[in-house]
Formats: sequence, C-alpha cells, structure tokens
Amino acid sequence: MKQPSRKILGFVCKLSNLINFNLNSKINLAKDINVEIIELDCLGKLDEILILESFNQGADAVFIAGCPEDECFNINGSSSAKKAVNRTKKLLKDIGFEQERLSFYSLSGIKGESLTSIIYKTSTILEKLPENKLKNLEKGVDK
Amino acid sequence: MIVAKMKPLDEISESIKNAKKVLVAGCGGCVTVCLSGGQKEAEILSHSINLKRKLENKPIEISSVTFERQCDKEYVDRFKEYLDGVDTVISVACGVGVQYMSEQYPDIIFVPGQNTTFAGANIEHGIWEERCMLCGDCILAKTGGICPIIRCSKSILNGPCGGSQDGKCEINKDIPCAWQLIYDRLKMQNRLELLTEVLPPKDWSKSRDGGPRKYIWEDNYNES
Repeated sequence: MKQPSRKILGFVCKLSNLINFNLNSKINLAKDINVEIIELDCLGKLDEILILESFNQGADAVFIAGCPEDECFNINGSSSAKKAVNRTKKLLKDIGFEQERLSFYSLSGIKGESLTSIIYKTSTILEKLPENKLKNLEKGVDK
Repeated sequence: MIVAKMKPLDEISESIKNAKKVLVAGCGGCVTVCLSGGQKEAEILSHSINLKRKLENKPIEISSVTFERQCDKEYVDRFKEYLDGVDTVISVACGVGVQYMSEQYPDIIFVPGQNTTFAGANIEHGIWEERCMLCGDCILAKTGGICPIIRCSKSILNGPCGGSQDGKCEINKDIPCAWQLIYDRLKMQNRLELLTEVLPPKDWSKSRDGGPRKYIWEDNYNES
C-alpha cells in the first residue's frame, strides 16, 4: 500500500478544546494527505524556529490553531502566536517558500469553526500548491 | 546600549555565497536586549539560510551558537570549539563584535549579519531611540540631563533655534525640540539660570575627529 506523501502539521492549543470537541466528524481528504496534530500547552511557546523546522522536516502545510485572542487562558498566548506566524510568513517570503503553506486560526472549540474544517481548508490550499521541495533534499546539519 | 538591525536575508546570503560550512555567531549583550542578534535570532537566521540554500539546490552545513559577548577575549575564545572546519562566520553582534572576532580568528571569513545603528535606550516595548553620540566630552550636567548634540537635529549648544514650534522640531512634527525639553526640565528643577551660560564651541578632538579612540585603564598606566 502506498504511504501518504503529503503532510499537514497542526499546532493546536491544548486549552482551546478544539481537539476534544471537533474530531467526531469525518473529513474527505485526498488519499495521499497525512495529518499530524501537535498539542501545545500554550501557543505562546510557538516561534519561527519551530515552524521553519516543521517545513524543513517535510511538512507540506502547517496550521496553528488556538483560542480567540481575547479569550486566551494565558492572556498573550494566542496573540503571541499570531505575531510569530506573521514574522515567519515574512521569513518564508524572503526564503522563497510559499507563504500559503502557513496559516493561523484563532477560534473557540465550542462555538467556532471546527478543527475538521480547518484541516479541510488546509488540504484545499495544499491541492493548489506543488510538493514541498525541501522533502527530497538531503538534510542540512542545523542545530 | 548598542542598537542594531538584522540585514536583509538576500544581502547575508550574497555575502556567504561561496561558503561551504557556516557558523552563525550570536551575542548575548546589547543585541540580545534589542531583539536583533541574540540566541533566538541567530537560530532563526541559521534555519532561514539552511532552507533558502536547500531550495536553491545549494545546501550548506550551518549551525548557530551564542555566548555572552563578542567584544571580550574570554568569551570570544569559547567560540573556538565550534569553528572546526568552518570557513565563514556570520556574526550577528554589533560591528565591534564582528571586528573583534575576526581579529581573534584571522584565517576565517567574518561577515556581518546586522547593521549597527546607534547607542540608544528602550522607550517602550520594542522601540529604541538614539540617546548618545559618543562624542567623548559630555555636557549633560549643563543641559538638565538631555543631550542637545544627539537630540537636537542641528546639534546646537545654545538653543533653541528659530525652527522650534510648539515644542517640536521643524524637521519633523514627531521629533520633540531638544532645547524645549531642556528648558522644561530645568524649569521643573528650578535651575533655569543654567540657560544664561553660553556654552563655548565643542572640542570635537575628543570625538571621532581625533581619529580612532582608545581608553586605557589607570592601573595599566601604572604598570608600564
């Protein structure tokens, strides 16, 4: 059986309830798309290094999802992550990598958009983009 | 502290285009405080260059390391174990760090990762303003602790000039008139009589006009 060749990586806030509430519904994804969700204790931990390393290790698309900015349990976690995403998008542009591969969602797990729809949206973006060129290259010796 | 700003990625990439093994050297001093060249920024630059070169199909070996300072020998020596086989170092310290490091390791190519801009202070989160010109002849005692050399657009010693309007400088409405600030400060301190003293022309020989400067600690004089 052929292994999925494209990967969506999601960093999701543990406290946003997105995972608890939203993973019941089915998603119609292309067969070659693989999804991995990483729960972070706080999205404030997220920085440029983590996102760039995700692409370096072969993620075709990365999304970050957390609570609405004014509802963050840790006050600044969500807004801090949003700023990190914006800074990383600028970096991706300078690097020459498609900015569309990175997206940020701030929403509530209870009353907002579901995690499944975020994954579906990301997969739709991915359909329009070529494969991550970094995947098939030999890894650099970065720390 | 010294304030610096990261150079565009394209400019840095161009300066290391022939490099095979690169070290990004961060500095834990001023540039860490102004969020431009510390450990995190050095790592981000290292990752960015790594990805860029991979996408260009010209992969290089690149890593990053940061120590307390790049302007003191004891800290610069600690970079040695990370320089094995490295042909180019991108120093994201200020211009002092880049030069001092290249003096200590003359066989390695050093390129700056930052544009060193000014000696300034943190006004609010993420904002730094120039406060000192390093002129070598401080007159702050006579001007209420506000430097007219760097904060007055004309650097005049007996102000204000005719361009001061509503407390702002004529060159930009966002720039406060330094001499208005000096007047307000001295008035608050009941020391307005200081303004009656005419300051003489400045001795610029103590500034850069006297060539590169050197400071020798008193004890070093006594030993020699």
